[in-house]
Amino acid sequence: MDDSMVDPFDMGFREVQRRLEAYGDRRLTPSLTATARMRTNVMNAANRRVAAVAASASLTMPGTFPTMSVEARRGPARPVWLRPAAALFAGCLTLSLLGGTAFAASPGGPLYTARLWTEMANLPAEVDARATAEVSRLDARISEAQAAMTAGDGPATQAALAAYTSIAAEAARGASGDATATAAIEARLTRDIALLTGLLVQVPAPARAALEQVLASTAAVLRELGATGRRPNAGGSIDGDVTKANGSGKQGVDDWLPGMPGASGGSNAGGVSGGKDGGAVPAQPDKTAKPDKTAKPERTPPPADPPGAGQGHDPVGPRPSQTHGGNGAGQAPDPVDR
Amino acid sequence: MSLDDAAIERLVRSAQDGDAEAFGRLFDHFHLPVYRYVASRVRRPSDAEDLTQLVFVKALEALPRYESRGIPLGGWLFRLARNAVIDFVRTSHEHADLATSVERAGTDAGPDELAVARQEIDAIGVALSTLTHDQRDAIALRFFAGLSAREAAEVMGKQEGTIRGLQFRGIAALRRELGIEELEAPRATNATGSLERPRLT
Repeated sequence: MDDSMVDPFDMGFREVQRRLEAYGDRRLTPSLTATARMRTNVMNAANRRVAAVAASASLTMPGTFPTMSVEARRGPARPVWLRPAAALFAGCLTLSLLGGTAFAASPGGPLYTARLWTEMANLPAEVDARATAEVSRLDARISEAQAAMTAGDGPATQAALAAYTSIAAEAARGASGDATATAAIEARLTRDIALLTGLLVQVPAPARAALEQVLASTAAVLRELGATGRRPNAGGSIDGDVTKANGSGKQGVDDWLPGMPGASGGSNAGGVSGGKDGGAVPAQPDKTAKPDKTAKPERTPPPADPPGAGQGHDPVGPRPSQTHGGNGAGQAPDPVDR
Repeated sequence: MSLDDAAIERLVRSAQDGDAEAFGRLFDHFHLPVYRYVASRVRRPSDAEDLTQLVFVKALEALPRYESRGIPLGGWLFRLARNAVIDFVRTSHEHADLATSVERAGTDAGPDELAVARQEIDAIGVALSTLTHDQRDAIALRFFAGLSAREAAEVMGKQEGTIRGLQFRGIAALRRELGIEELEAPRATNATGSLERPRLT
């Protein structure tokens, strides 16, 4: 202790110094165990450093411990254009995803089934609202089929028509028992049959078979709906829309609806029998002829008065005139018989 | 272990070149004063041990950038130690409680002597706790770590005269706390030539 401010002969200072040294020896000296522990840990750290130097010798200056500067930890400086380019890339990626999804969800696409399932899952539970939604779905499928036909896309047309078929059957099942819903679906299906029949001559050959299947299945659905006690409220249009398009040999609606009233007997009379140049567009059918009026029945001659007439009792049974209403007085026949 | 400045300089260069054993020798040379300084400022010996390790690990990491520009390695190490202690006290809200330190008394002392020594040491601990932070730092660096006034000034970032003043006032405060009055120095030596033990109040 070379301190000019301390008098070496100041015994008080020397006593304090002695006590401080004693304090340091007894209270501030590490044990041998603690010293060994510290040395071991420090040497382990030093050896790790040496190993790190050996491992990264190619990256660091020889003979130095590998220490990373702040710039090195941050990595190389990023160019200025990187952030806008990243944003642009993200935007393009988003647009690509959206466009790809929309394309994949179009008819014939890989996500088209998923789209249909989503539509079905979102249908309302109430019967009338559900029928309205089903009608909208049918309309959408028809639009898709028409668009695909226009584009000459056979697979898309088939997919849209297949979806239409399943939706029609599903709509018929969902509407069973409800008059309003059934009527709405019947009207829609009837219009669609007319429309699809008209399209039959336009579609390319691969889609024509699918269209015929759709017509058949739709007719079956209409039959089912009619079997529930209702008749198509637009039956008149069905009856007359028979089209054998331009000699193509395809069947008309009447043939798709063999069991429907007025769908079989000579209904092709008013159809188009062939247009110009092969008849690409079917003509409108003529009005269906009304059936002949039922002839009035002849009057039953009055029977001769048997013996005992006027007694008010007929031992044989009712008179023939009584079977037609029982008036026997020359009244008009029962209208049911007409 | 005693090393002169040239030997220390050589060890530093070897350690900078990746010689772990050289760094181990530097640890052997400096660990005791560093530990004593740290232990005088923290409460538990375990904390002093951890902080001493931390000081040397930090020194290991910073050693490639160390350049001896008039600052000896000891002063550089004690600067690291002082910063570590300040950070530790600040974050753990701990202050030196010297009275709770573990006593490691010698085994050759008798019971009476041990009792007296313990009383003296406890009194020193209490007296040290009454000093200001700077006075305690100066006392610890000078008496426990064994640094010169100039080295202590470099560690504390103060002028050498300031350190002497801090030490003088610290010693005076300790004497007041310990009740050591101004004693006349025995101008004459006894038969053995050693200084006579002062009388204590």
